[in-house]
Amino acid sequence: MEYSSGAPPVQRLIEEFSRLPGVGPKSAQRLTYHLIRMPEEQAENLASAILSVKTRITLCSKCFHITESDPCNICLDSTRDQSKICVVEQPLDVMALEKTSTYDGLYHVLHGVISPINGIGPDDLKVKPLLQRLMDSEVTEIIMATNPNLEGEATSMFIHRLIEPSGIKITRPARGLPVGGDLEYADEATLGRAIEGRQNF
Amino acid sequence: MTSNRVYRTKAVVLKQMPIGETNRIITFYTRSVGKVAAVARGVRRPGSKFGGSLEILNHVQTSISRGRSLDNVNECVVIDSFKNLREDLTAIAEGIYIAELVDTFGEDKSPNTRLFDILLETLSNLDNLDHREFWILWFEFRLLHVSGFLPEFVNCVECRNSLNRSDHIFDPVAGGILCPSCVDIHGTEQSWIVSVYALSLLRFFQRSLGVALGSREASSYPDGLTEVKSFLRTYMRYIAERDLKSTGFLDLVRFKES
Ligand SMILES: [Zn+2]
Ligand SMILES: [Zn+2]
Repeated sequence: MEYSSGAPPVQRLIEEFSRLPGVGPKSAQRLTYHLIRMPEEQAENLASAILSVKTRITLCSKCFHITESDPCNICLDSTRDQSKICVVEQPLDVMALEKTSTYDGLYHVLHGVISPINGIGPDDLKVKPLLQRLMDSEVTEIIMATNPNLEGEATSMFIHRLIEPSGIKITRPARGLPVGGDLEYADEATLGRAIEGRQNF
Repeated sequence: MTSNRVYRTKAVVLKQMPIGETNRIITFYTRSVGKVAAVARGVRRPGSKFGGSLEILNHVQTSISRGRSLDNVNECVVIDSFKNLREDLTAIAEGIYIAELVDTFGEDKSPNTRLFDILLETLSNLDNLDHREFWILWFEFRLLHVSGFLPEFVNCVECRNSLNRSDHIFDPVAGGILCPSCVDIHGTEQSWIVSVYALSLLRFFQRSLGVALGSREASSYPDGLTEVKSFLRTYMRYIAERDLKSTGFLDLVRFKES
């Protein structure tokens, strides 16, 4: 048989799939054997879709959200409230907040969270660019919308410590978001209410 | 009820890692089975049955069932979430450092109730917010003790002669202090000088093993703290054969605080 289990190309694809978030060894095998049976044209479409994401999508140089053109559409939109920046952990959080249609300010994506036990500190996140952004802008409010868990809180507290001397108002979503859950999975209504009813840090 | 498939135990949550759509792998240090990693399903969805019970540093009562590859968290109820600690960034960094030490020195599925007890006691001490640097050193010292790595500070580790009151050479390879005549024979290039101040705190710790220390003791060694801190870190790095990851953030927030 051409594709005996453990043949190098098959094994390689299984390994590549296993590296993706949310894909365990079982799912990696299932995806791989699905691809083996897939028509060649469909496989080529998938491969080119992956490549074009990598070549056409970049990070916005202002807010670090993912975008096809830099700056991103949110940063370019002059009807949005330029005095507010909502700080989030990842691009999915921007999408979740945009779906609520209750927030009309700008964003700043940190691309992660301070996780000392994994050796991830502020320098591994987009913290410095946030401080630079605040220096020459009309921002009067920062909303710390990291996930409501220990590492998310620590990240917000750390950034709060850095920004506090500037006198910029710092707020956080209302306590409607239950501890332990991730922002990206919060339902729109709850998330919308939490952002509207934000409180001082 | 404990069966072969399910066990109930008190535990402290050491760390979490997202896996799958909405799951997390939780690493516990449990009282009855030592270090355990188990999957909490659906925990990333707000409103999951776990709520905030699996937050890092929580003291919990949990029930875990053995699975084929990974164990599963069935239930988890908070006993203490150390609320004061959670509101202080430096205390959080200190608590996470303690958790990393237990993750590094604690053995998988091999219980060490003394380690569990000093972990819990230290989290309570940190939650009281006073003398935290002292409590961390006291934890590190006892961590070495309960994991069998405690060096010798009272007598020369080679000839057993008692040591006079002065600065001395510590050698991690020999596993303790070497007297001046033994240094020449047994000293390695990994050794370093320990001052008389640091030694007095280390010996105080050694005498106090098995004793409950209070804030009076915690405030009585202002001179040795900084040196003993770097002593214990260097020695633990030698034992663990790697740097601890959370010290960078801990030092950063302590520096920014002062
Ligand atoms: Zn942007
Ligand atoms: Zn000697």
